Amino acid sequence: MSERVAIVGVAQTRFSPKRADASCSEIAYEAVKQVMAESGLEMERDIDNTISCSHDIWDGQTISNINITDVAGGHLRNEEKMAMDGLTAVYYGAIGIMSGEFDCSLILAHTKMSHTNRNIVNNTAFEPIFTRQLGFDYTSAAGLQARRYMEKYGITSEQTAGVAVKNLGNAMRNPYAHNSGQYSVEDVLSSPFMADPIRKMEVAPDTDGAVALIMASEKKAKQITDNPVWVNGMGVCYDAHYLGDRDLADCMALEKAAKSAYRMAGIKNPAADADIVELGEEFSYQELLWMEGLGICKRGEAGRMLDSGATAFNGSLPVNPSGGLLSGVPANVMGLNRAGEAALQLMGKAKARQVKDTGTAIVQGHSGFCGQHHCVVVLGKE
Amino acid sequence: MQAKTIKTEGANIPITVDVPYRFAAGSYLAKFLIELRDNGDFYGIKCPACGRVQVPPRVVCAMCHVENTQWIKLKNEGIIKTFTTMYMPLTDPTTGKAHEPPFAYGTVKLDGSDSGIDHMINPGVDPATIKVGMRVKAVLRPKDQRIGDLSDILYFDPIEGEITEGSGNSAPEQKDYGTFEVDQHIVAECRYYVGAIATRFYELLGSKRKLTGVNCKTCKKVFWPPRATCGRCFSALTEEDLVEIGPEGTLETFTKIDYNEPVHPKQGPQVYGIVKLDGADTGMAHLIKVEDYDTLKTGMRMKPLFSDSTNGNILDIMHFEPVAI
Amino acid sequence: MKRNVAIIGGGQTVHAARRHDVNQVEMVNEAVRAALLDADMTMDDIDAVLVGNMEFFEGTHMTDGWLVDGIGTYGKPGLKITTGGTVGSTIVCAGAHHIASGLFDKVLCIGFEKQEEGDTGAILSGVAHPLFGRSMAGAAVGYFAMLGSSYMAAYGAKEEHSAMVAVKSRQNARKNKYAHLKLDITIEDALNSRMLAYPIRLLDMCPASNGATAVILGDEKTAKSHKNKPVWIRAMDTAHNEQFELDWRDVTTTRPIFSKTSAARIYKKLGVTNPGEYFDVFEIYEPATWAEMLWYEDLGICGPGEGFKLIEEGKTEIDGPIPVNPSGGVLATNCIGASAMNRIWEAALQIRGDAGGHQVPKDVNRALTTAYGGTNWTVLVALSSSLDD
Repeated sequence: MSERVAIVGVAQTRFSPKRADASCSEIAYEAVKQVMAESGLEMERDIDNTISCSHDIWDGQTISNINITDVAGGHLRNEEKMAMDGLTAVYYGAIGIMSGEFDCSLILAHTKMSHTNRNIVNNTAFEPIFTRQLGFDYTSAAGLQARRYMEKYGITSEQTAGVAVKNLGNAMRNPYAHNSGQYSVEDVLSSPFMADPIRKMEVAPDTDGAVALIMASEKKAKQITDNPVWVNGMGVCYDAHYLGDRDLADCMALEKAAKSAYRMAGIKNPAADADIVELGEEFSYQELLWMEGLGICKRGEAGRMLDSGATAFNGSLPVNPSGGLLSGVPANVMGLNRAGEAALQLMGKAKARQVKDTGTAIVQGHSGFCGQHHCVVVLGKE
Repeated sequence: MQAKTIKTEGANIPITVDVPYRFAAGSYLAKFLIELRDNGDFYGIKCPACGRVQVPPRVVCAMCHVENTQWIKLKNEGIIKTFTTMYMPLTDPTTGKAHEPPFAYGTVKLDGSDSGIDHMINPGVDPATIKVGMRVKAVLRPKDQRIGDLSDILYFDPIEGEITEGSGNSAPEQKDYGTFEVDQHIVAECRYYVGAIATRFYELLGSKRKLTGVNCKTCKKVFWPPRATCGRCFSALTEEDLVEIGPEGTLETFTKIDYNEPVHPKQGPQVYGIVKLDGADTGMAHLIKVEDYDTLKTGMRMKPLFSDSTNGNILDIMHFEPVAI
Repeated sequence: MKRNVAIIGGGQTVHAARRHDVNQVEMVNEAVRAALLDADMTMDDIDAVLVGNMEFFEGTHMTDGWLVDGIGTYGKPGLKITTGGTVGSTIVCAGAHHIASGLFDKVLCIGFEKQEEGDTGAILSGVAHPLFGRSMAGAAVGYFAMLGSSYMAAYGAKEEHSAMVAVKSRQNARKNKYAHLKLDITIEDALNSRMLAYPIRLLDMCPASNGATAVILGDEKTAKSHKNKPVWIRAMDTAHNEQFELDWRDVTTTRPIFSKTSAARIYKKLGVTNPGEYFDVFEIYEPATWAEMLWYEDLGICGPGEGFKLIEEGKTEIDGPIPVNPSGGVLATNCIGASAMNRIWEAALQIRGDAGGHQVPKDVNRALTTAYGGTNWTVLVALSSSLDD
């Protein structure tokens, strides 16, 4: 990489269980307006392209970015739409800048989960010939993965519940989160089963909102801010589609994506080299599973690492100091929000949820059920 | 590349994708729709930078990237900018009735607006008399039938008269219009062609109660479901590579859900599992039936129960259940 | 771009009204295998795979997940980008970005649509805003009909001109073994086809096709040592357009519009002053005949209001001085997710001299492709046999 890429601005709407007052376009605009204002940038003068992230079926709009073209600065300008988890917009945004085609990009993701039915939407992600008619959604599929993972490695319900306790507690420091509180493991394990062994409090709730980032080439970044956050490494990878095709406790795609990101970033030992991790735990067990896939600990060790307090807010390697997905983050926005949170941490702008001495962050997002596609980005202050 | 012989009909699986939405108009469009519904008035919004009046009202001017601020009450009449004569029927989805062709359909710019509204011109008027530049007036549904939608305009009717300016500034912007939400569905009748290998799989399942996987000779693995390309080595696989598997297998994992959705094959609690059929290297996700859920354990031997009817889809297997010990 | 990027191979299915013999994965796999064969490569040689289509049309979500086995993404990097009708071009641009970034050397780009599997009516009406227009849903035909009406009124063009475009397209398509609608039609046939919305007749509109196209992009080192003549991607431009203001339906508009804006920018990048002379062939995305005439004008191949004269004079015929859509264009083949990529692949074939029956009979070194989709969106891609112009 000859010239580096940085995140230079982060903004988001408040995440809410339901925004009946706003259309997708208005919600997206709240984030765009904020990020442009805080970065001191103007659309025509500074932004070369926009990468938006949304889905037709989630928005109820064929070609979902039709509704946000105007707010995203897409009129007569370059705008492309990722239809995957929002972290891929950071990945593709970086590629665009590294290609030399763009110097400064607006990255935007939005979804209003409240206005539709997530299970009906997600059911269409299962291929129609052998799986869809069984009625799967991401939660029931996750139940299969959770059990397999927990049985293979001896992860306990107390440990998965512990993730929820940690993250909902962390979310109390996050003014944007809508799902937070001081809970006990017993509270979590008393909540009803959603997909056994997954409990209701272990499932990321429906959320409406948007996140916008500004990314720029090194030269432009230094004009915009004296506090850029560098994209030092990244990777994406696909796994097999059918639920029975893989051992659901395996993380082949995540390991490969992480390997690519770590190689680029010069990370040899992620647990030692990173200061924080923001990952996408749509279900609480996934935090433990992705920790292992990211190589933060050995396979089967994530529960113990959680129990040790290492990943707590005050631990040696806080995971999801923002509160993660369990605090309520919209679909498609999930990974972009992780990147935004990690960037704020490295900028020292995370306020009440600021972790001390953060220099390097590992960010992860996934698309498809049971993490079929993963994206890993390593951010750094240097 | 050789052109394939294309059959005129192939095995397929019809699935209705029915997604519910509660669309929120958002504050800008809510005002437009509520004023139309309650007062029969039309509102546009003006960009403070370029001055263009946009309909429908929206949060930013796409050209100037600034927030639109000034509400403009428009006249309920304007001119036809462009039009066509439709020879296809147009169904009004709110009534289900079709407007029979021919009728004129065009873009109308209301006085004071810079944007056009696409709509029907009075279907009672001979389309041959319609001209670009003609003045038209919005004819609305009676107030008690208006719902806050473009279909509240029945059509635009040709009238006499000169172009006039918009009415200028509007009702006080402080008025709280509240939220405006509309329930809609997108219903797509889909039909998925299964391809040769899956066709054969379902034929064997339906007629012989045989389960098959596909053998990749290169990988030396048998995959379920059968597929035309091995995902691991990219070898092409055909019906010749189908091998019998199961019918019994081992339960690899399972879960139980209590919520119900329209996409579920049946209502009530559902148990799902992945069963690795004997002879296959990958598992089959399916429904599980068990008398007492608490007795279900991974590693259990499972057997399929086949449906009476065979439709050429995965529900031709009703579920898997534990093999009685 | 920081690194040069070339198209080093490609392939497509024989696009068809019906592909009941294959599922989506199998259909896309045909194009992928054809591209690998053309490039003399295996899937192991590919560094990343990018795919796009309008999956809502098939009622499928996260389709790239399902396609994994057929497109070689198991254990490989890849992404799915969707932008509507322009997606086929966007995917190629994305592939170019991937290689120019230095992170990848060989990228497989795929566009496809198997529209027969979905509910075109329901999903097309979903293009309109749910609370402003969806209940009216005049659909694409109404829009292009207004465009045609407006064009005729403004410039004195006649219905015959539309028929000329329809005939050119379908007759060219007869020379293209991959095209969907190969119709031996005359002007009279076109003028006698069923009127849908004045002046659009059945033969003036594009079909709904099922098919897939794949192109393989390579970095300079790979391209220069490759057996295929490299087709260099020299410039790209994307222009989207806000909803509600569909400018082409009123050709007298003075607003800056997507097509002219994008053309001006890409010409500036390349230093083009006379596009009709600079480019040897054009592959444009014309969902309807009248749109082709507007593309002539908006691309600056002729002046405003002169597009219909160009077709009348035969200038854009396959053996004319400014050949446009020798492939038959979108009027002959429209698998939406692939249509824009087909423009690029067809133009590449022309530059390679590999278009077979529909090869334009002159030296082809430079080509310009356009896309169309969304609410008047476009992507322009300029291709060349050389890196030096």
